[in-house]
Amino acid sequence: MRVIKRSGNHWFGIVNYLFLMLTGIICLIPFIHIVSLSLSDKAAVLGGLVKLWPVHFTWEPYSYVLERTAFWRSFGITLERVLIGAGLNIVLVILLAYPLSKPSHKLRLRSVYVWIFFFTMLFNGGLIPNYILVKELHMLDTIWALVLPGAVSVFNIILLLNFYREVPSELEDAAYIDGAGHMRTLWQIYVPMSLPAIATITLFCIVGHWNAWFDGMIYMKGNHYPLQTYLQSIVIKFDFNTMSVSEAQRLAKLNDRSVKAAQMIVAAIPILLVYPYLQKYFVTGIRLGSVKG
Amino acid sequence: MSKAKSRAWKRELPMHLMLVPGLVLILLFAYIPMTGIIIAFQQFNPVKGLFGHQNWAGLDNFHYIFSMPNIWRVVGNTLLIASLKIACGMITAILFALLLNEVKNVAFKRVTQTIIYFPYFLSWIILSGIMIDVLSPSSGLFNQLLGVFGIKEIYFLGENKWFPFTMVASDVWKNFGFNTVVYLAAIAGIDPSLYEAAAVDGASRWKQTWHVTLPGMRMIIVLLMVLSLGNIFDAGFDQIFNLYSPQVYQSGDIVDTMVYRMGLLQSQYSASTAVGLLKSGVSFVLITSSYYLAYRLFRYRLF
Amino acid sequence: MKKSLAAIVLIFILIITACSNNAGNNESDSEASGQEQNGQIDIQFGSPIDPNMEQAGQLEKKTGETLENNRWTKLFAEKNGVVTHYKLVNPQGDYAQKLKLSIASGDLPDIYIVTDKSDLKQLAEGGAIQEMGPIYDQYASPLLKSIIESESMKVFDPMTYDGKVYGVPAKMPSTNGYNHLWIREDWLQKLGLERPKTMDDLYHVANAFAKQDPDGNGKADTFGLGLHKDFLNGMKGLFWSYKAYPDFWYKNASGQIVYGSAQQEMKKPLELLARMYKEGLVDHEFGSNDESKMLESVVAGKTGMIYAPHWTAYSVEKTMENDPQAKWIVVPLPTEGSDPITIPLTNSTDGTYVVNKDFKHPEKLVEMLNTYVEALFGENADFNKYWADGDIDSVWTMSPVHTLDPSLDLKGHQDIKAALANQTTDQLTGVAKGFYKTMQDGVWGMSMMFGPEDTPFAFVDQTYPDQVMWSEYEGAPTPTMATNWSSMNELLSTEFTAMIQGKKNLDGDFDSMVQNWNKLGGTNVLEEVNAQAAK
Repeated sequence: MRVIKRSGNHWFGIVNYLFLMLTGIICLIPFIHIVSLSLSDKAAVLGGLVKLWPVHFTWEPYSYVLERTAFWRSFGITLERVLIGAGLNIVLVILLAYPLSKPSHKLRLRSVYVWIFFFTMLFNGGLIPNYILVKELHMLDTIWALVLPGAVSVFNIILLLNFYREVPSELEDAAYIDGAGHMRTLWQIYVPMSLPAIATITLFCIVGHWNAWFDGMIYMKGNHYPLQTYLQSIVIKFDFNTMSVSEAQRLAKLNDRSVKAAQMIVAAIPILLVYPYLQKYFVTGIRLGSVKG
Repeated sequence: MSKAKSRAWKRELPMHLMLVPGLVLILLFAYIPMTGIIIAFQQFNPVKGLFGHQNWAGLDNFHYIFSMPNIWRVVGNTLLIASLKIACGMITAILFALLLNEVKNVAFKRVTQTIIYFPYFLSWIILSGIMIDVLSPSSGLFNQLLGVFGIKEIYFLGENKWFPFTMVASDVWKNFGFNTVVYLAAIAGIDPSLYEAAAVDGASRWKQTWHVTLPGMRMIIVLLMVLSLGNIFDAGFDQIFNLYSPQVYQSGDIVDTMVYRMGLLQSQYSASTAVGLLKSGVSFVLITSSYYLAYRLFRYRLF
Repeated sequence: MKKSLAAIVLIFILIITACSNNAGNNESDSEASGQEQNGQIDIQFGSPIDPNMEQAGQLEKKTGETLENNRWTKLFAEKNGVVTHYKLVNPQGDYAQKLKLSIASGDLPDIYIVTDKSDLKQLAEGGAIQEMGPIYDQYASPLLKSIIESESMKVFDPMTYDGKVYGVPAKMPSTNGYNHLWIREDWLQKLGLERPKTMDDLYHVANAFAKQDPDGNGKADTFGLGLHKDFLNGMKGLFWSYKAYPDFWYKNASGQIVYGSAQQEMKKPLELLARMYKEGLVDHEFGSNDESKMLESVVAGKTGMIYAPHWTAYSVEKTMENDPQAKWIVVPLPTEGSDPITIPLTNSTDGTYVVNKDFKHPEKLVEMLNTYVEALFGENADFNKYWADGDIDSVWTMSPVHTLDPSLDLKGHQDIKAALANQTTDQLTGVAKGFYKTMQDGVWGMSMMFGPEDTPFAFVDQTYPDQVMWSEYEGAPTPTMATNWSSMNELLSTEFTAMIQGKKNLDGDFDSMVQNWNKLGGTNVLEEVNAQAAK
């Protein structure tokens, strides 16, 4: 911590606090509004009367969501996907970043490997070949279609390998002399020393899987949509032009902003719960390579 | 093979094995589908299947792309939205990193950070849902607020002159809090003795910020600028896909959304693949050169 | 150490095999497709049902029925020996995209519905689906034929290529295409106004609604007529009064098929809207407001008159929750001049059912449709069971195939009206019984749609089918349409909007707009459409 007293401008300090507070409030207002919508009576919401406080307070939208099987089914699928998907992501990233963090003289073909991984960040075959592949692997409409194609995240490998590089090579050499192989060195030296980065990456993976929607729409049947795909189909796709008349009639009857709001809130809560725990690692956990000036 | 060499191999082997699972997955899910790029050179008829007897089109699809009336508009939109996002995002994040750095009350700092980070972790699905509601011209909160100041309501998501800026502003809203972290980390890394020296010289807080903090961040700022060059064709599919509508195609349609619509809505599979391929090619050149630049300027290695 | 590394690689391999096994299990039902056992045949369907819809969840909770196992699938198993599986089942918007991916990967269901006419064309010309014409002729029951063909034989146009019919339409009531004039009757009474009978009356009512403070709050904050940016589509009724038929193909006096939006008749209704705009009778922000935004102002009690389809009842009824005095009615579309009004309608369908080229029993599709219409509309129909379960509606959509009697809604209205007049509502049957019960249960929207007087269907009853003009073109998009249609429509709607806003001059700019439209592809499209129709 810096303890030097800096000759400060008192007014600047106050203005600064006020400004930051104001920004914070502005950032929060949309969420407060949505929470208010979700706790208000249908008619008040439809008439546009709800602002930053619920009007005709009611829990009804939430009890409605609680009873909505489809919502919880999607919720469960997303939970499964986060557990399997993020777990796989992390194991792979820990394993892959280790060899790639070594200089070329310690790992032959390193630059070939690096190019192999790097290239995939830029080129992809497009939707149709991916779909055909997933179909040929018999993974359509299974959790693996959501988990395996994105299991290797090159971006996260970069994050972690730059962390690994900070580990003093003396430690590794000492371990080698003790007879430890690479696996043990990785688990006993590298992983413990990179915990902040691993925590950060864990958060990225959890959030990434929680928020993914497009693959769910492409690979899953409607009754197996993950949560965000489900939300997308009810909150955002509301295009009467592409809809059959019977569908339009059904939706006209159901158009209900407060229930939509309640579903968005419930879908955001898990993230709200996870991220403060992992937040403290951010500042140390994000290091995009080393800069030697 | 000499004994030493074979020992070195033995020592290295586990590391190669560690790469196997990742390589298999990447081969399977990235390189095999890349064969689908041939669609760009065919008159792809989906009924015949990817491996059926498709008619070859040579470079016709590429000619077709450049004859499309809206292609340059779409490229222009993409560049404008992406570069504004990069620029505004950086400036905002640097500003807030500097301001937060001046805050001494730890609790206040933490709470503020927590609040401004928060949108970063929500999906564009949820944020779009919120924005559609809040920005609605008739009942949206934001326009009601503008009304208080006597400003006529604005259809942020439905008017061509507003849409790109709405995208930029909302992208900044989602990301700036998190990006401040990167800069705060850079500030934290500045040698405290520099401040001491400046304070001894009687430098005011402004002067300290100007002469110590900002130069200390210079490296990371320029570096991130260089690296973001590679993203100049990524204007944000998730965001725009969920917020745009036909009436703002003129100013809001970007390469990625166009590829999607051509491919899955208008069945122009070949042309859509060709556009995607072109975009990847250009991005590839940009990214490799920006990384090369970063290496030349800062000896920075990403890998 | 090496051992643990080996373990990790092993685990990885296990995961891969496990998932392919797991996937294999999931696929087992699709492997079974087309197999016959004990006279039962497994069929893979594709249908845009939203499995997440509220009604599906309610039904599962109430009776344990699921999408693949419910009263409909049981009926098909019993009558047709069909075991229902879904290969594709996604909400409407996603279904069309999923179908395109399935087409490209050659992974199509046995029987599925195609909603995009271009896909249908591609499938038929690529030989991926079977010719259904002769099979339909041979197997369709008289009831099914009467339902599908009742409105216009043009219903087969989108699925006819080289004279062969490649599918069976999922017929829906075309009365859905009506556009109605909704009015706040309490405002009319308050201001002492008559119901509008001519377009002149309509203008005066709008004027009074905007200027005479019908909501009595002392502020000039009301609109005479709800206007929104999709007026060409959402407010067609206003144009019909002037014999203008936007977004519709019809024959002009010289027998040519023309496109309504680009005809001179459009001028007069646009003139009226421009005048209302100038005088502040409509929302000046209409150019950016969509229909649901307009409906918000309706619910808030700020708009007194709208053009909208009948199911808007569910939206306008909410006005009463904010203002209990509010009363919305539907009046017959006003006329201009002495001619009675003509309603332009397109055959309404939910898409086309097609059969995979490899599927051995194409007749099953027709037989299932026979069963479907028999269960809902036949002599021994059990309408209440198959249409809805108590207050859970949409049960009729939870079937792998569906098609509805086009006069379904109208018949419901007529029967209820007659029963109310004769006080025999306890003897209602079929559709009407279901409708009436829902009305009695207090679903106000139903009464507003199907009630005896001042309702959308009272107007339909007056005009359908005698005053209906059927569309002359229902085929797949022509080549020029496929590439240029969206920009051509964009041109029309932006120009019309500018004309209403007074930014463009109706007399001068209309003709140059039509010229531009022709240049953009209009001339080609007209040629293509006329050639196609001549076939």
